[in-house]
Amino acid sequence: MKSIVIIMLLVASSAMAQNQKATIDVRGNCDMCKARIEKAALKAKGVKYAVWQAETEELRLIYNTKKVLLNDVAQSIAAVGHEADGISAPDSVYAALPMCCKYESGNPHKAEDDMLMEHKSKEHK
Amino acid sequence: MFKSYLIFLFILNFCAGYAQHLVSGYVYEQNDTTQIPLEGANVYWENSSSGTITNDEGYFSIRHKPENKVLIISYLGFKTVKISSGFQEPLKVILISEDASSLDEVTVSKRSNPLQRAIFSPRNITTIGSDELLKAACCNLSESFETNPSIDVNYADALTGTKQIQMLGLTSPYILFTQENIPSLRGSNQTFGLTFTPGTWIESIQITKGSGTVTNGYESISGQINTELAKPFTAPPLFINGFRSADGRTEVNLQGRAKLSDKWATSLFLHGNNRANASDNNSDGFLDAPLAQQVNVLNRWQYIDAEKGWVGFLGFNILSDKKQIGQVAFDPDKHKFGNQFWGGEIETDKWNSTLKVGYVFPDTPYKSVGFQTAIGRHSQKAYFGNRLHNVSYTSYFHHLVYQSILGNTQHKFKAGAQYMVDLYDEQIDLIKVNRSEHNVGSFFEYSYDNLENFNLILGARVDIHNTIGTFVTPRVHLRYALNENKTILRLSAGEGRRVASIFSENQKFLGSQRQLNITNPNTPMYGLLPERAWNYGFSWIQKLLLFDQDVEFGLDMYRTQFTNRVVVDWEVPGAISFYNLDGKSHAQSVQLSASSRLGNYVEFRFAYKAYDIYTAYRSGEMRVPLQPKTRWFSFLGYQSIEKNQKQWRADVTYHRVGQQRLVATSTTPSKLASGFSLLSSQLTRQFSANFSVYLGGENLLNIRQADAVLDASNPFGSSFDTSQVYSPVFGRMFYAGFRFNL
Repeated sequence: MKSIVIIMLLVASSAMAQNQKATIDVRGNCDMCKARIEKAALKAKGVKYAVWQAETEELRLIYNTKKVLLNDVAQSIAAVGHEADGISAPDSVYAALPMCCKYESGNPHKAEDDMLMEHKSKEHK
Repeated sequence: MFKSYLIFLFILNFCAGYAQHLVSGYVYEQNDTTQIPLEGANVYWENSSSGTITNDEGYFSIRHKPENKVLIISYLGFKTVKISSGFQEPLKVILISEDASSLDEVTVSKRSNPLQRAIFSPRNITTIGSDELLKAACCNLSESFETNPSIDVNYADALTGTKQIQMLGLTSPYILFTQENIPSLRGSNQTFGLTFTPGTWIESIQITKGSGTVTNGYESISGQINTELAKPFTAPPLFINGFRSADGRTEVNLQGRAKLSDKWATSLFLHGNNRANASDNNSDGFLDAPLAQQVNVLNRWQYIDAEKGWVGFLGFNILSDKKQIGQVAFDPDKHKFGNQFWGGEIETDKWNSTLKVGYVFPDTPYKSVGFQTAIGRHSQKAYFGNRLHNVSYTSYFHHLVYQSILGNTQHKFKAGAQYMVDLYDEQIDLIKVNRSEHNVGSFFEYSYDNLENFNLILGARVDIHNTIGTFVTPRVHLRYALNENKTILRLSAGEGRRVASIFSENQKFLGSQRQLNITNPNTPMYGLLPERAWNYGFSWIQKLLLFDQDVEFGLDMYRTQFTNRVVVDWEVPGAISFYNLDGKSHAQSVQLSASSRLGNYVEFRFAYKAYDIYTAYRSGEMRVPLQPKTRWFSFLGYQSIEKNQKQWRADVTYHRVGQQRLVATSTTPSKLASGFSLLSSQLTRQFSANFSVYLGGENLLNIRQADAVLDASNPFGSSFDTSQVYSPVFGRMFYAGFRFNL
């Protein structure tokens, strides 16, 4: 049994070499978007780790460069309705997203500098 | 997803820090008596361009980089708030009008969720947070569950005064207790171990109902309870607590910690308790609670190197505990082993040290390795009247776990190995037994998450144990969610085994003149087989909006079916027998619960529990004695609006304990004891963020068991018995205490 564990350890760590880290911009608003985006990213074979944050609209990825291209990942995400790395989503898919994920009408979580400035100036008046 | 209950909780805590911490919270405006969410408030870091605004619920979340020190919250017409600490938990910020009097300061507090049922884990886990622990009257782990419906608190024998807890109708030996995921209450620690963890040391408690993770061992049968202690990096720099109760108990806690560098922190926790006053409210000549004193010291060191991915803990704990029991007139110096007065003493000396090292691969945050090692010694010298019981127990625990993914993070696994040694040297009267147990185990646990509504954990371990033999322990947990996580269904099944330490676990029977009947007294396991049981469970959580309030309903159904069990049979007056199960034994429970927060300040919890617990005794299959058929639980909590850091908090807990079967005595046959109600309440006044005072009462309805000691007038006679205690002995009890922290 111990030897099985050791083999597992070796197998698991041998794949490490081709791992590439990347961060891409993915548009979205809320936790519902998060699940959809991460799931779409992980569906692309070769993506090992995908974590998206609403605040930054950034998707952090770890993927195997031999199995998948970053562009494929972005395509996969755009196909479920979220603009990824500049690739926009098909209109029909975007239209079917739930209300909270309609990112084109603004993200309440995103730190928009202009929005912030507007409120600051309101404060100073 | 699986964050809630992992073998290396601290690694995950650390992961969260690595992945840039997110600060979130709610902003309200103070409007005479109510607080309403403030939309559009500016939330930004001082000297940075990073900021956000609150949404229509007043909610915000913002990234926290190391250089961000001060969070500013502002809104036109309101006083600006600056916050520089407490970012780990959601903030609650109340803004007040600029023209409000200067005495009303702006308040910032954590929005706490003191008792939380896990949403995403396939396991049925409830977390008790530190705020919830404050509601417990006092003082140690055994007393931390009274406001929680998942756990039942029993009244232990009149002698030791130790509250025993149980889950799903099974008492603590069938629950695996871990402290920061290292098994902590095993072997000879069973009876008193819970009283050796002071409540103020605890940061949180995770309760897993039903079968637990295989990574923690093969022993858990009805559930697991993990205690996380306050960490050197995050505990308050200084904490002082004093407590005094009307039954003569005094407790003092002094806790401090220091950050030595960015990477090292240390903490020193001191605890002392003392009960010097004899109390005998039911006038039977016996102490209602033992005279006791305890000194308990914990020193811990924590290491974090976030960049390189290393974390570590080193801890030392040393304890000395003394109890005196029996007749009020008993004086150990004069009456020990005599036959004038009946009494006894229990002296426990215990130490242990733990080391935990964890490494997270910086380039692959889903991959980590952890190693834990613990060495401990527990020695207890006791006599109960003329009956002697000495035990010294030494344990070694080593645990290695590797965690990674298969393909992607939807498929995770943990694999590892464990080596445990338990050495017992026990003496009961003239029976002397040495027992040594060695166990090498390896485990593999796979988890799958479809990232939407379904996840599962499949676990198995193989153990090679010198007395149990070689065996496989399988466990499975499934979760299915519907309606955007408003409905959560869970199923679990798993096997567990353990070797019973019959005397340590059943010390309450030593305070009687019952004759010990053991199959084979001079062999290591007294001729008893290892215990073995399957646990199956179903749980359903439903969140509903009722009268504009979120209400959480729950249904839990669990069944534990024993294949082998060490039957503790005290059905025959004057005797206690331990033998292997020959027939059926099961514990089945159903729990219906509801809980809600009415507005921001009132919280209620309600639960109904029904138990069906049977064992085949030599005299036939019977309901296990002292196990209520039903229990009702309700809790009502209130907290006022926090103003100038001042706050009132109050809560009331009501328990209805149903009928219990009593065993036959020399004068009465086995019968049902009628049910009774327990009411307790606590009031806390927080004078500032640093100082609060609390006052409370337990058993306010003054329930008292008159016959807690049978044949009290003739303690050396054959009918003398202190083991049949099914309700409080002391009666109504008041207490007061204070907490001060920096």
